[in-house]
Amino acid sequence: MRERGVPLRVAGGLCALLLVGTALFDVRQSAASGTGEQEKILLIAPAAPGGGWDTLAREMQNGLREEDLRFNVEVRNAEGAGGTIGLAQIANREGQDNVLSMTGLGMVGAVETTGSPYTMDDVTPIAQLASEYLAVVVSADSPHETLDDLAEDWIAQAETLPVAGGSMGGVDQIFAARVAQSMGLVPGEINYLPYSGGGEVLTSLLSGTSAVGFGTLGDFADQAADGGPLRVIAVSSPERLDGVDVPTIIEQGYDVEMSNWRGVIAPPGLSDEQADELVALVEELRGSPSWADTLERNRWTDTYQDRAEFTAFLEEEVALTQETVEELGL
Amino acid sequence: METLVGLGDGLVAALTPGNLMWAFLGVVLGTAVGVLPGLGSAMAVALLLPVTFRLDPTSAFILFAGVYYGGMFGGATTSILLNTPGQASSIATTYEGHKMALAGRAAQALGTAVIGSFFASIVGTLIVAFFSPVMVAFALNFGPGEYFALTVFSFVAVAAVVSGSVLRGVTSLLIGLAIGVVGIDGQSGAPRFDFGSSVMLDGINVVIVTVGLLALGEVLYVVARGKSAPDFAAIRTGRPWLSRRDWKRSWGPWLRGTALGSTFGPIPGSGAEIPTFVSLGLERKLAARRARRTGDPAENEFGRGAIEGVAGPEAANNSSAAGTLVPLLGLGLPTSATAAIMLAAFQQYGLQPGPVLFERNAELVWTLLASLLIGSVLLLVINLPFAPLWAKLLKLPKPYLYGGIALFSVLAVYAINASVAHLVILLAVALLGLVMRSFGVPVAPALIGVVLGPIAETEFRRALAASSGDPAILVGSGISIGLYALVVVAALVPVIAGLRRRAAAKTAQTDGPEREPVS
Amino acid sequence: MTVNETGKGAPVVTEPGETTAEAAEITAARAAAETATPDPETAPWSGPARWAIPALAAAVGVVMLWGAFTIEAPTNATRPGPGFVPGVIGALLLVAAVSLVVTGLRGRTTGVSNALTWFETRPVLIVLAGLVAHIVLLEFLGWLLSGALLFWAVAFAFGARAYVRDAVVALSVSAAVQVGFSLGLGLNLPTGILGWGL
Repeated sequence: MRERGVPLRVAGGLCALLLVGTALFDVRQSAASGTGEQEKILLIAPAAPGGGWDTLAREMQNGLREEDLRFNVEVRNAEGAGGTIGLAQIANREGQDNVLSMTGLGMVGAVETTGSPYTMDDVTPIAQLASEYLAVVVSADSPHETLDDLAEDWIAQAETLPVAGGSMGGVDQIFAARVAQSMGLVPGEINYLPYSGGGEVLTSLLSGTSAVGFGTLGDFADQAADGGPLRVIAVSSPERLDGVDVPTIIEQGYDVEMSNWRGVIAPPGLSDEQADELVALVEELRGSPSWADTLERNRWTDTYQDRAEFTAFLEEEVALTQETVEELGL
Repeated sequence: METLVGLGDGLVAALTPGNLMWAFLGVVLGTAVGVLPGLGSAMAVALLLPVTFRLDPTSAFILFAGVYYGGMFGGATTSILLNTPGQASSIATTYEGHKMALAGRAAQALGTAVIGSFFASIVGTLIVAFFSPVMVAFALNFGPGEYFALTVFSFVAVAAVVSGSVLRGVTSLLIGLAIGVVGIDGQSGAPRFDFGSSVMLDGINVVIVTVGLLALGEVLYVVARGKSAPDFAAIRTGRPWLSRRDWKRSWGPWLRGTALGSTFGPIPGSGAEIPTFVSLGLERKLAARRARRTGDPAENEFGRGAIEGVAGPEAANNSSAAGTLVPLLGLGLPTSATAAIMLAAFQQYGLQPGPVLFERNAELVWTLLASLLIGSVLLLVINLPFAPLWAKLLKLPKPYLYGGIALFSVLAVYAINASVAHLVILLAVALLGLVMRSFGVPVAPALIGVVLGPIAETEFRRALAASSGDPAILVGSGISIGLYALVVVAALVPVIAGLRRRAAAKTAQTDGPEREPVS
Repeated sequence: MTVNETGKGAPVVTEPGETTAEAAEITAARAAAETATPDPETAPWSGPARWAIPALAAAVGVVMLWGAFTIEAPTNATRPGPGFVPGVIGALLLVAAVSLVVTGLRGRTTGVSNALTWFETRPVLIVLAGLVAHIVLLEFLGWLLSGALLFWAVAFAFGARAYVRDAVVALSVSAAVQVGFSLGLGLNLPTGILGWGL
């Protein structure tokens, strides 16, 4: 390239200078922590893009920007091991008051099943944001119309009847185990086929591989509407849900009430003041019109709990999950 | 008829200047990330997701459609030019594509890839539009037993196509399968081969293996070969456009590739790799037969840069990308990382994929399909003139070319999880790639093992769990029996051919040396 | 360097629609590409290198078999358990290793072989050093600097010796990635020391 003339070389140099200058500007800007609305905030989504926690994090990012609460919001995916990789990341940021991680029942379960070195005691709970209820579904041509029908068959072939749901140790399996237990079955003995998402469970039911599916209601609701290929036989909410004409599990005489809740946690070692500031930020977001839109679009139920309520709730959930996981023998 | 009206309405809704701008943006971005090793369309779609919250559904779909197809179009470029495929579905293209580039026919290889991709994505999209319900019904015949049969079929198909030595191909496949079992076992929840590291719990990410074996491994291999590596600067590029002969030889493979891709694409989880390898093998067989029949060895250019070996696989992977939309829309089943993120995006707009989607959200679906058609056209318009320009990439000084590949390799892996530990694994995989290449062990089967191995294991164990341990489920349907029959045929053909060759060689020895090439 | 001298050069064919000169050029380039190295995928191994791949296969096989016997399945796991498939893979890898050794011993006398004499160790070590430095320094130096370092090291290994120009190009490419992916697409790249003092 020696034959290149001097003007070319100068032009090349200028281009390089411009590029490096822009990059330096970007570096300074990403590193700046800022104050007030310009303050940087990092949201950790302990799941792959497209998953539930990722959606929550990206919705929060969008809401915080749209409502002019924070402009510099960064979402970082830390997928893996049922969410405990993300848990480890937040637990290692002791004292940082500009980081939030998404959390939920799945993470509580994964802490127990993956032998994670970090638990929910290693973080500062901030708030619960939303919930999705769970459903027991069968294919539309299944003979099971109610939980009683299902219980009859399931008890008769406890160890062979294939039931489908999400991944091992996840919310769906805990749900299946609790339903089985309420029917008098031993949760550890059921023939649970783990799949990697609602779509796969649907396919499994429709192809006749499994007889019953356990999962998030939102994943199945549309397919179960009139003329759809699925039938929802019970939902896990405490009372009947608006617009969903399906009896609850409790109504049918089985004592299971649970939800796939999602919330946010912060790193350990925060002062009450710092934690309260984060709670205030989340609360402001939750009261905004864009959040109402978020809830509706994603069909999430608003189950907001502030720090005190959420801390107490989390403790209960951890205890209940430990019990179920132990019975499952995971 | 109803379909046509729907599609027409979709086109009308999608064809506004504003939407065309989004389509253009998506197409350019998709091609750009598709070209870079490891940075597939999944990452671009994930990063664009928050942007689309502010768009109306039509614009957002158009943007995604552009990125999704753009990634597939771009994938061929580095495979052909540098022998570093960015994703598993472009591996098959490297075999003949890179040889064409070395022979100075890079522009023709890129040209046939782009036109083939265009043709395949248009046909693939139309098939999705017209036959989606039928294909969903077909896909539902696949239970775990059938899936397992399908993976066995793909292992045999790949092993039969890629390697000079079957034994080395099988060894490579087994090493890939071994990499694939690392991490938490999905069926039981037991951690396997994690060696106490939490990074390993989720297994070794396919992106790391792809980038390590194919891109960074290639960098190390080329530098190790030093002066014996092909010198790009010495390659004389011929004329930039496809000659009439190239066209004549391309259209058959385009058609066959499209048919293969459209068949395998809709089967959830089968991935775009299988049809590309099947297509490569098919074209090779057909070329050999043509050469034998006409007695003209010029009919079979395989091994020296055959245009059929680029046209077929590229058409196959694009029509399979379109076919992937069938389970995504019809069952809500994302079969690739990109599809998973697109699914999340669809749900944002109240589009709930599933068997009733075409009735419930007809308007949105037609808009989406129309967007894909527009995206394909734009991709052709943008990429075809660029084919000769891309070919000039080889004129860059080699140090900078490979410096760039190394840089983008680490970027792609760091982008997965912002984890330095992943980079350490990348280094180890790249070293494995160097060793395998240096000893002439093909790396493609290893990658197929990593991609399909976990699926094979999951489906095998799921089948036995569903049937409470009765192995009859594995051969319980016509589909699986048919697939196993194909496997047996595929395994027997080379053996018989080998015996025949040996017999022929014996007689040839008495007849004197082989015919000299005509000049 | 071992050169493939089997003499199966490309047949010269005049393609219709192309001038003979062009066709000849293409054929020459093709032949050059072909004879540059023996096809490594079919060349048998020779020398001590012959044991490398069988050893690798056997080592991976042993690890798989060890796993098959030591992975603890949860009490209620369905059969076959988590150790079954690793066991099968391990056993097959051992079979493959033995077969490779046997064919290696039998194929000793045939023509061209791959003894890895062409392998140039120094540039490979330079690339590896660049990668290791990049990994170690990424979070400390930040993407911009450690990326440029990696690019420069790889370019050096490939024989670039215009140090200043190489450095400018390296910084520019690394900066282009920063601008395109961090500023443009919002991907988070580490800022490192360049972001200190804020």
